[in-house]
Amino acid sequence: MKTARSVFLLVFASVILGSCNKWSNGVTISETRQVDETFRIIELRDNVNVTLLHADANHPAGTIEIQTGEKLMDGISTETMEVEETEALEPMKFTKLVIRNDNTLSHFRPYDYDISMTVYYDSLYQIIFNSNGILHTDTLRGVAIRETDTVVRRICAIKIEGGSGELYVKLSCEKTTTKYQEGTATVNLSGETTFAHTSASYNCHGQIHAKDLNSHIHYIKPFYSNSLIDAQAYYMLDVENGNIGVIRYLRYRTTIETHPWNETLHQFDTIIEPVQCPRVIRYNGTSYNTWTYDNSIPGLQYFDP
Amino acid sequence: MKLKKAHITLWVLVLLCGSLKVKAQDYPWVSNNNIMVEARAHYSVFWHHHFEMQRFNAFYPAFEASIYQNTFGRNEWETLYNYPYIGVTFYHANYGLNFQNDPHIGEVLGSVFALYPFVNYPLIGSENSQLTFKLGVGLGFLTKRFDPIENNYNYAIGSHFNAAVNLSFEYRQRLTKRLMSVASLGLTHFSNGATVLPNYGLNTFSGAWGLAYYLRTPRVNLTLSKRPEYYPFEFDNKRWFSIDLAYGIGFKDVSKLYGGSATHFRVHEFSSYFMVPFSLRSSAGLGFTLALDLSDQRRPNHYVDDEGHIHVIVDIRDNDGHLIGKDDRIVKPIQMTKPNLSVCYSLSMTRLSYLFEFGWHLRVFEVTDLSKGNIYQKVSLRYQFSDNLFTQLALTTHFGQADYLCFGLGYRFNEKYYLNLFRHENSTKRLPPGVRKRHSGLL
Repeated sequence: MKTARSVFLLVFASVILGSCNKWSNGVTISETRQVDETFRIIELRDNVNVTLLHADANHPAGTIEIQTGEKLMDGISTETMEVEETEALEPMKFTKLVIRNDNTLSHFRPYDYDISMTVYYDSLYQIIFNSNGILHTDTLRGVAIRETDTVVRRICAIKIEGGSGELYVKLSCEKTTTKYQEGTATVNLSGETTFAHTSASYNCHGQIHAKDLNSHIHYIKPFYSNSLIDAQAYYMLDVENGNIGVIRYLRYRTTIETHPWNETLHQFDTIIEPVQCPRVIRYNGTSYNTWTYDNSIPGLQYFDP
Repeated sequence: MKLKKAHITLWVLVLLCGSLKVKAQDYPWVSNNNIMVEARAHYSVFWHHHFEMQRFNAFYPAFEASIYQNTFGRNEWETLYNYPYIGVTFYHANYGLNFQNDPHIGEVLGSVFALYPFVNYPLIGSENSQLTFKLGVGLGFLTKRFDPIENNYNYAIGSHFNAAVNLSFEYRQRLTKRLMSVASLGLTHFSNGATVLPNYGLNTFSGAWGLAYYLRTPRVNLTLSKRPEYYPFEFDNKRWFSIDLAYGIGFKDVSKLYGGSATHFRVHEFSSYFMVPFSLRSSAGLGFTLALDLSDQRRPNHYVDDEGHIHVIVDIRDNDGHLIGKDDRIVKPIQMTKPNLSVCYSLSMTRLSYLFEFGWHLRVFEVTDLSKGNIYQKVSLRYQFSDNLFTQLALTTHFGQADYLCFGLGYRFNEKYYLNLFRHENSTKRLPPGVRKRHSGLL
């Protein structure tokens, strides 16, 4: 009994005292690292807050500035690897930058610590997000990908594989694909794109706010999420809602803006008429399709189906 | 502020104990049953068992108040279990307290109120100083739950009402004749048994300390030496085994996850168990179960056509395992039924018993959905109405992730047999009643 009592009291004291006097993460320090500047894919894991900025004269591509506690710094991993992109017409090889927090025993550290990182890039094709951190970007212009024999588009892809963080992504490219596979992260898209293709699986419980993403055509399919997406399109909104998720969408704007993009846009110019509303295709997979309107956003008109 | 609140709560409960002391003189029920009251303060850490819930990692204060009986051997099983404590606990924690800088996160989990009955088993030690294990299962109310639009970050909990489970090791030290100090390390778990999805559940590990107080002078424990000894299962070389047959039904709401017009799907479960007791408390054996979870028709790759037929989209692969196409097949309910095989262990306290199973889903049909895994665990709480009739509440899980909760009724066939007839014959010079001479060996 004495041994059992001693062990119990030792563990009990460790838990209580350990909770009160947690390991310190040390003073906040900065560190600059240099990785392969040719990376076109970035993968975020764990709980690192990342800001993506275009490289400039002072910050060449591949420069990473990290700010966190000195005892955590060694556990922050920034490694690059070669991967193959298979969705293009011809398989392409890219360099991928993977950012992780390999520090362990998080329950013995203060919970309110912060790992912040600024990554300078040349151009970016894909963001893979599996993180509980926050991602901010400046304007992403994508990478030219040959999709067919005649069509080459500047494409930017966002893939959410998990996590409950937040993404604030600004875009200026011809095609944007957002593939939401799993998690509760909130995706905020803004900027301009010709084609937007957003899909969400059953395991997507996060929200996608794309009302500030000015797109000509926005395919939202398949949308098996039970959560929310805000979207808008100038010409066509093609929606396939297979679940109880809420899709809020904005009305076609009467002013057609000119975009300095290539021939793929002109193909659509020939068939687009100044209609009063976008073409909306409702997929009636279930009787639970819900369409709501957010009238709280000033200056925007809404279409009533 | 939090500590101040904890102190106030603790002292109010201690004072309440003091006032009950006076009142208890008037209530024979209190003195006859060794009634105790207890107040305890927890220092809990939220344990994220899913990556998406890592953002809620924090320390939370929690409080509990209990009233219970320290058994003293009035019934034989109390002596067998070394005089356990039996009672009920009220538990409260606020999961939003540590997010005051970010009210949005603080509002995701809300707070919890729970009421759960428990049994606290002394493991080692004496009446003055003992190590115990507390097992409590009851009902919890969480103020916040998952909502796909309003509260999508909280996909740990899909309903307001949940099962509350407490498992903790306690060290109880008697300070005076009637006052005890209680320190504990334990796990508190909330989930709804997958009756409403999503349901990953909330787990908190905590260290707690409190005071327990006997409302009247504790009674002297009755020992086995003061009782006749019973060996019902091995008297006269006689042994028992039992065959249990049970049917259970459960309900699952998957509409928030998978949509669809139907909100609740039934789960049917036919179980059979072969159990052999090996002590007065324990028995072990094998189980075979047929389980039909009708909510599987709403899982990805399944759909229901206009005529009500259930379809499943099956991957077609070549010999090398490469995907070469997909096939749309109509599935009958019998093809969705999962046959299960399990090994079982039962721990009984007279009419109440726990049944623990560790089992495997057997794939008989190609279209049977085994996406949750081939291995499952099941915990059942049983109450025996009579020697044969029983009712049970059974939770099936896949490594901690609840699958379904079933309420069932069953019938037990008790059979006796003789382990070694020759030994019995030699020792008693006569055959057991009902056994003829021509039999030999095991029956």
